[in-house]
Amino acid sequence: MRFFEYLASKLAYVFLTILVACVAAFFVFRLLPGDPTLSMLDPRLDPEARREILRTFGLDRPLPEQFALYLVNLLRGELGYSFSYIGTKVTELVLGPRLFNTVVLMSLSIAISAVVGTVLGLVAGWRAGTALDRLLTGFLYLLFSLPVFWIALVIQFYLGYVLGVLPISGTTSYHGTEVDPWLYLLDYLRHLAAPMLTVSIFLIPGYYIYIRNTVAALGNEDFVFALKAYGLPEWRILRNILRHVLIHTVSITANYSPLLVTGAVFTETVFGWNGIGRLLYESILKSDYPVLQGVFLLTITVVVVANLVADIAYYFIDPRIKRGVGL
Amino acid sequence: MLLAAALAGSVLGGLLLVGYNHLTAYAQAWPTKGARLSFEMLSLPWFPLSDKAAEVVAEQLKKVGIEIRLVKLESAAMYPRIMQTFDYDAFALAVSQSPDPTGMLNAFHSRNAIPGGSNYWGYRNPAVDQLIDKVLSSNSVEEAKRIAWKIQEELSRGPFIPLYISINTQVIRAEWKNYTLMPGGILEALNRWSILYMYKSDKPEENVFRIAFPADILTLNPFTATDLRSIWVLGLIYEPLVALSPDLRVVPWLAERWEVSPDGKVYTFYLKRGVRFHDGKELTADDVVFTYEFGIRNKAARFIGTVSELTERIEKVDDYTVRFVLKSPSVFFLTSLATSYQFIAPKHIWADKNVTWANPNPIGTGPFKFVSRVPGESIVLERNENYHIPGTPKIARIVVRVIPEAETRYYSIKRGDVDAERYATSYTLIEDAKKDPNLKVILTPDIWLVYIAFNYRRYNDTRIFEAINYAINRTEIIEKAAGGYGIPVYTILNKEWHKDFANTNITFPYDPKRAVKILEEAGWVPGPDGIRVYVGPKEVTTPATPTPTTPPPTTPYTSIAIVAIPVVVVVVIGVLLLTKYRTRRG
Repeated sequence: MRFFEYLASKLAYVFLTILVACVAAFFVFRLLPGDPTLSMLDPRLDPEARREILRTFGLDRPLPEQFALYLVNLLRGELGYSFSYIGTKVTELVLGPRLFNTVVLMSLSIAISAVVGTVLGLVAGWRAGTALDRLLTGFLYLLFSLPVFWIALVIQFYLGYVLGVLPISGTTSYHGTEVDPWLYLLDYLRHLAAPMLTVSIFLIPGYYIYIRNTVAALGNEDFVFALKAYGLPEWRILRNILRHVLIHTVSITANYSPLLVTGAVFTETVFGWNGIGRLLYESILKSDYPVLQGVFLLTITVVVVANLVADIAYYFIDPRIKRGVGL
Repeated sequence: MLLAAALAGSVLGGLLLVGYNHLTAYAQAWPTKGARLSFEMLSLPWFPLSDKAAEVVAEQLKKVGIEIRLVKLESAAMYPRIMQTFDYDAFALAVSQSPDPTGMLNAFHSRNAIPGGSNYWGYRNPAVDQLIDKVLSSNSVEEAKRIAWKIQEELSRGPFIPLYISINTQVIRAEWKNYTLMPGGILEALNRWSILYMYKSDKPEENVFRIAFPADILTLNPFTATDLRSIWVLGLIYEPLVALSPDLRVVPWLAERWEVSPDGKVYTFYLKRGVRFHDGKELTADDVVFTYEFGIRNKAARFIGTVSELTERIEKVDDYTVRFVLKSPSVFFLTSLATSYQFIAPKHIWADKNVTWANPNPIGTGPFKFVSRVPGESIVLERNENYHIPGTPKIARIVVRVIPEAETRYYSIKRGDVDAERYATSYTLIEDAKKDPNLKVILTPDIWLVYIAFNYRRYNDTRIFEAINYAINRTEIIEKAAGGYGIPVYTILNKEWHKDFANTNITFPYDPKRAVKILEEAGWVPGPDGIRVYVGPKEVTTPATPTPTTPPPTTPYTSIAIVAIPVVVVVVIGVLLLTKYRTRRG
């Protein structure tokens, strides 16, 4: 299959998916139980004032009309105003510092887990059945079964409170004061360390378990015996095996890609990391449709793009795709 | 197609339900013979003060043969049922208190027993309606008190059963001094004193007060703010006409004095002179008249309620005099004015703005000026050097930080990253705080009145409510739900917040024997499983009458839907993901 042919077929999928997502985003959240006007305002609101609010947000109009308005606004790049943060645009809430913080936290965490998980998996899988393998596998299964908020609280309590080496909450120590950009960056990274460690610990076992099992199974393949028989050094055999398992690393990363923008609800909450995960959680509790739609559309876009990137990566990693087999 | 039908069905069902409730609410349909004394009680798991209380109430009522089936729901699922569709038996919740009793009183008037009205329990009693109307338009404090006491007597047999007022357990760094104790705590928006006079150091620049909020403020708009976090911040930047003293009397603020006409219908306020907005412009009567007219005309959240309902018109008399002309006299007008968080905004900034304007750089007359805000993260305010009360505020800078997790907030205070948190610290952490020499624990009555309420539309036998009042042990509830930090309450008004409007004659000592006696007399006898069954009043029941068997429990369709829909969604998503994964592997 030629590259451009391959790309064009994938791109067609991308547009179709995003189109469906735009429609779904409108209806999905209107299926949620709850009345946004109740969370928007004092429950002791008189009915007249409630009607007033419904009118302000266009919620008094029939659903098809609301939908048409939504599509028109979407084409103009407008996602409307938040129900709970009165007077604030969704784009401002979603595409502001929150998105930046979440993308920084999650991209670094995913990258670290992908590298660490793949390397550990490769080592343990190659030495399958040995004490090292059992130790690593046992330990990582233990990590896998721990609830993430527990990991977060333990890290926060010991590294932050008891030892005092890391700040325990927030993204910065400088609030409303002028500060040297380098100092600010250093401080930001110090605040980033604990949540990043937490998310990484949470994600590493996912890579490890899959890669380890794949490598362990590959150990019995003919080509591995052949390479061994040629007397190739171990690292060169491993390099060959790596090519086989990298495709799985890419797949798992693509599956984690929504996390890139939806963030980690628990971790962000425990560490007060000002990200999308927390915004998402608050918005669900408050039936804040416009914000939910915004995050949903953003997530879908990222998932679709990440899968596209993964598909392109397969094309280069896996020679079978070029030959048009196995797909 | 199926989905559309289901949706249409549920909407229709909801409408029918509402209609049904309105038509049959007060017919004596309950109890029928064989009915079980069993109620489904909705409870909010994220609000432990009432959620735990509901658990304890369920245990206590079981001992006298009343079954409470607890159903824990998120607010988005619970509120529509208790406020809009009235599809519930009972619920446990808390209501915030203020020195103005009009909100509590109105919640028992039948005109508010409508969808979206504050009479959630659907209480309907013409005698009480009349009394409420009378107390709200009374022009004599003595008369108002007398009627308020009578109303509480009537309501002591009503479907609203108050349990306790929580005690605010405020943790603050020990170096801070000179704060003012008030109901609601030292850091409540009604308390305008603490933040003016608090300090920790004699060097002014060291007085940086860092406070942790559990969530971000929702808005900087003083007209539409509804959450107490926004209101606390806005109350530092903006100011009301009148305020409350620490013992909850109305005292001058931007208005330095006022006069009331003998018929109680005209209030004339004389503004303090030389008060300036943060941008240098002087505050005049134009700003006050504009604020109220703009707020009321646009039905802004802060301007809905007693003050706007009572006010016929607002007039400027001269540059420093404003007159409120009321439709009817009310002894609660000034208290409402002091507790409604109606902040005076500058006309020269707001005149051409929409009422929902985000107000990114708020300008008021208050003790603190806005410096910066990072949404979701922090708000910074600094001292207003030209503040109109000389020598205040002592604090140079206020930093509000959002720290969502409760334990993190507490450990941030303990470590000295912040000085205090906005709300009470959970009682489970208070014992630790008491032992820490760097921390102080300050106890004041809090704003929450925790209660249980029954749906009077379904259950209007007041003897049941009387029995429940005797069957619950409020001391035990406070011990288990709030670690002992609470004050038992028996009536809808209480002396912590409403002073002598609270009827202190009414108490319900814990007396399960008396509860049992009331239930037996009302015709409820223990069934085979210990839960009482209705056999009719004693005099007409012959021992030979066989007890009808209990009807099978009705299927809780809504609960099934609540569980089923997410399960289906999760399964569908799971299957989709799995197939996707499979194809990729292949």
